[in-house]
Amino acid sequence: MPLWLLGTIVVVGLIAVWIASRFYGYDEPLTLDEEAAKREFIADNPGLVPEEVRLAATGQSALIHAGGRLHVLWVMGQDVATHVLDAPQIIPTNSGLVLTLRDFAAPRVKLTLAPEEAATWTALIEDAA
Amino acid sequence: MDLAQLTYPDVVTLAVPFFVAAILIEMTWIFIANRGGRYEVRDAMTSLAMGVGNVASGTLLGFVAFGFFMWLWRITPLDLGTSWWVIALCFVLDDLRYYWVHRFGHRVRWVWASHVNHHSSQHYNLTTALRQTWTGTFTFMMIVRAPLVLMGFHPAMILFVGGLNLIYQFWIHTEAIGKMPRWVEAVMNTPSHHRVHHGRNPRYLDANYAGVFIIWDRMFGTFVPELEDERPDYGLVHNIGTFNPLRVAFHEWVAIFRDWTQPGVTWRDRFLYAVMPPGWRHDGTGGGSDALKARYVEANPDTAGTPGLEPGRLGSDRRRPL
Ligand SMILES: [Zn+2]
Ligand SMILES: [Zn+2]
Repeated sequence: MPLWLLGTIVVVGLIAVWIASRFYGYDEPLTLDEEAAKREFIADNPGLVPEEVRLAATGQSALIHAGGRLHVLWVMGQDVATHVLDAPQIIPTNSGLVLTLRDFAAPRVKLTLAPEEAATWTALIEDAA
Repeated sequence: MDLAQLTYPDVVTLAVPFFVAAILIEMTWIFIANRGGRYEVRDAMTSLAMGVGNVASGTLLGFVAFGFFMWLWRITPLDLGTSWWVIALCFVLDDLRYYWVHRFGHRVRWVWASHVNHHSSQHYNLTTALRQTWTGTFTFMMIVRAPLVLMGFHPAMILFVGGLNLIYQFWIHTEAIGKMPRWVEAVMNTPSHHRVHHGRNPRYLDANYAGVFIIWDRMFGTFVPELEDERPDYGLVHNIGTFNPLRVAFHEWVAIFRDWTQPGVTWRDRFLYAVMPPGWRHDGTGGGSDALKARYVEANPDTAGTPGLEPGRLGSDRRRPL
């Protein structure tokens, strides 16, 4: 197959999948309650038990105490990712906070938080460090 | 016939229009039936980008493996020719080759660094099939194909049947198909068997490495059936927090490099960080899949001895209690 034809099929295909995803509603993010956040955290961290969960008002992120350390959980599409917080940099933004992680895959995580929520979270993260 | 000129159709690129159509059909089916799988736009786009990058890296670096095979072809005195039964035999033996490369891909971290990205999606649909590595050349796993060339299978034929193998594996990445007829499940790799392979449930870890024929797993003791009452939870034991294809492609290589450059590691440790199973740590604090299975059985004693959790699959949990 000539490269121009393959390239065209790939580009048209990518656009078609993207449009279909939008049309079918496959772009709706997951929202968690505290129980779901706990469940997702346990599934992603075998052997760790969440002792305390602070869920963001958006239901899209949480701070979780487990195994004597503080972890962050955040929604990625319809699933979640979790990461231990290892003295992160805390960068305030207009919509919440950005935390830095020691991880090439996810070097920073963006959290949407109300202003007073951001202040509480900052204090909690600084306390844990 | 001049075998140096032997060519076969590039079946993988010919299959691309079919891949696109099948993905659109699966997405639509899930939307209409409201079952049979999940799609998420960024996850799907990342998987497709990985597929495109895989083809691009194959175009750029494919000459390394092919050059190696052609060199072997020149030194081997054997030539099996090109009859149909030779192609069929080549397909079966190359599938055995696939089984072992795939098994190394999960048990040797250097190879896992490349293969991990196929498992980095938390979804399981046809796009997941196309979430392929960009760094396969650097694993040196082309060596496992050397015996085939030395036995007299032409390199072009080996790459042709390898392409057919990849195409076969496309359709099994779906939740829309439950179980196939008994004889199919007995001999062939199926959606059910491969869902197990993508599951991060302790019982499903390090199982069903097959490409086309599931018989290799049954022969070498790595087969685990999909249980009715335990749905696979897809993805990595600890999932990566990114949709960025570059980060997906290279994150484990960077992790190896970071393990190598941490203070206090010896050259022996560095070697072991490359060849031991994922999860190994030089200070003994790590835990691979066998330790995860052991801990799971300890917490759920009634599961001991059930599929995937037989005594032989459990390691010792060397992690100190928290
Ligand atoms: Zn695999
Ligand atoms: Zn797969």
